[in-house]
Amino acid sequence: MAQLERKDDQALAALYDRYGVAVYSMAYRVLGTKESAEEVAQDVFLYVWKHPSMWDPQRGKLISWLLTVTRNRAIDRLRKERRGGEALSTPLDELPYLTAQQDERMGGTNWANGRLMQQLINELPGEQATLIELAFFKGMTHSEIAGATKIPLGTVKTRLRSGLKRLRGLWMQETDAVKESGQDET
Amino acid sequence: MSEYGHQQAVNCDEVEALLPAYSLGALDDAEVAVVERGLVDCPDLNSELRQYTAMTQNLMFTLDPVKPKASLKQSILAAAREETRTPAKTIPFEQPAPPRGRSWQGWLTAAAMFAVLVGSNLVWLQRYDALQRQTPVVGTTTDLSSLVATGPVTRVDLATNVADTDPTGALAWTPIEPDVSWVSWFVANNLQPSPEGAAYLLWLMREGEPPVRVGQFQVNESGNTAFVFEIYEPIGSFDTVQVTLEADETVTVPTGETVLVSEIDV
Repeated sequence: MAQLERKDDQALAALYDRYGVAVYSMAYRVLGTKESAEEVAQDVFLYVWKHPSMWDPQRGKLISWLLTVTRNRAIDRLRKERRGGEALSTPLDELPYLTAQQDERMGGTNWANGRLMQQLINELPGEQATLIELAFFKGMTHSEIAGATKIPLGTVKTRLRSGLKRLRGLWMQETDAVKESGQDET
Repeated sequence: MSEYGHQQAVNCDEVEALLPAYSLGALDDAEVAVVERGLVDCPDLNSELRQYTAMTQNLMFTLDPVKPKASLKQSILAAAREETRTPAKTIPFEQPAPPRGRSWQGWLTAAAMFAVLVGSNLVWLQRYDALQRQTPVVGTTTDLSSLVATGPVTRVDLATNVADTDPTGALAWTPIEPDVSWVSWFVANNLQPSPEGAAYLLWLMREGEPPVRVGQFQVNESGNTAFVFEIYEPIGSFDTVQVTLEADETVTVPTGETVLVSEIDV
């Protein structure tokens, strides 16, 4: 980041080499088209280029910040498209529904947590996983989900709440188990 | 008024039921207001929200890797070099004149009321996005004056001491009921987007007293914001108005960098 502050484009190249796939993958997951994903990925790296100090290492890892910025920008774009009356770029029946396979190339603790999260999501009923996908990766509110899926608003709320509560329970079980096993080893 | 108008009592069970969707950002504006007020009135829910938020953050890492085309890297580097050669331009936030003849009371009745941050002496009326939805031309203090003010308007302009940036801001107010309540509106331009988790906070300060946290806000892609709030103390009785960028958006006293400030000398 210090090199980016000095406008060293080799630092930007290195940043892209390390995080380019993740940033692009997030943009693609949200937007569903290569062209839009490329534009958002470019926007994100240029944003970091112009404002490297906006990342605060005390508040989290760089990858988390980059993915958050990417997701927010991609969702903003999606919302503008929706306000403009354009259809979702990915038809609802083609959404990945959080069943993606993980790739070992994206290693590290965060990705390990992601893999665990994926396993837990796979234990949810499909309709709950779908709603979580729409809310998180498409930035849709209850009302927007109800409109897009033709599922009654009350049912959307109930399913999303139930899915997340169940996921939280599973997540806490797993993380507690990890903590306990760590204590056993010490 | 919205079904979630700010005068309703908070039902902590109802707020708790909204927390999962809140952590995903899946709530509508009125529901967000309920949760944000509920987190103040039902402090026990904060730990539950933290659990949900920590969990949902991991959804980011369920990505399926997709390789971009090789030329993307070169495009980014070329754009970065171009950016370095061409200094960034500030984007003026001037927009066409708004429709005339609409009073602030119209805003109150026409819009969902937001209790994003409610102190004992003020009520948040409109956020920027809500203002934008109502009329896409709201953008300057003057615009807002024409929409909100029915009486004399007092205004202070805020400036920055932060190097290499040129944000500007203005706070204006007019009495609703003389000596009882005032409607105030704040506009800022050219602010940097706040980092994830951080927020801009607007404060009113008076020597020897705790600061009044007016509220938190984000800026749009052009670095602009505008919002309206009602306050039950004369703004002219405060010494200073300032905007800070806070890493922790829940702070009750300013701790972050001051990005805009002005003395209130009216």
